[in-house]
Amino acid sequence: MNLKQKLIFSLVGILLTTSCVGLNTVSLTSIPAQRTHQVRAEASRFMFFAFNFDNDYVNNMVSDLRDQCPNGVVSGVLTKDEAINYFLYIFWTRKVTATGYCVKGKVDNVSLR
Amino acid sequence: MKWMRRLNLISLVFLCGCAVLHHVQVGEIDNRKKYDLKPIEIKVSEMGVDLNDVRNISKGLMDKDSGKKTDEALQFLQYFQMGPHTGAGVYSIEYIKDIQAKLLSQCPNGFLTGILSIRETREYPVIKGEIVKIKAYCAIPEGAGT
Repeated sequence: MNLKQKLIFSLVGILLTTSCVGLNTVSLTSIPAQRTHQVRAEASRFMFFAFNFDNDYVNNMVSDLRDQCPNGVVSGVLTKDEAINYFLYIFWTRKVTATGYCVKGKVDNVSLR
Repeated sequence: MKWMRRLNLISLVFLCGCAVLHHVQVGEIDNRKKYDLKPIEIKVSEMGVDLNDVRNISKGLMDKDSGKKTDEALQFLQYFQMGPHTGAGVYSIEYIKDIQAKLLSQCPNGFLTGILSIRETREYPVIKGEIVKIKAYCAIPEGAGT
């Protein structure tokens, strides 16, 4: 393997293997005792440099969770906002994940009101 | 370093209207059939000023000496804006004061559920729109009306 090939191999290796994830914010609501039915919603946006002209991609997360829990209560919601950097923040993704538990039946003990 | 100044100015122009997400949070969702869910949304905002943008612009537009003096003056001003915060500094935090009252006024006969809280910044050169947006559902017991 000559020097040129080594350089190309190194560059490709760097491009393919360098990435890191940063956690921006995390939040959690009260967790129910009944934790059998987990629900999850995810919203993400791929970005080139920092070009992002709205944050509307997160708007449907609540309705996504609602759809997974008809006639129930979604509780214990863990919301995680992370930034995945693929290469020097030229290509990166913002990802918001919400996971929770769908509680059905009598849910008066869930702290809602 | 002239190209660096030009790059700063060009990036400022291209990044006009960019949206930065600082914080998002999903609350508990009561999706039981005994409630009618009415979507509501409120948005409050305040103008922020980014002194780093002012510094970059002044460096690009002024001659070397004036640019340096302005840079020093703005750097001095920035010492008064230190500390942890999201987005650019605003001169009054009062804009979020009535956020809860505004939400409740849209839901007088029910309770709020499925609250999605978003803290974001709308980026323009120098001026920033510091925004807090709340989307939620007003849960009204069936038959209670609005």
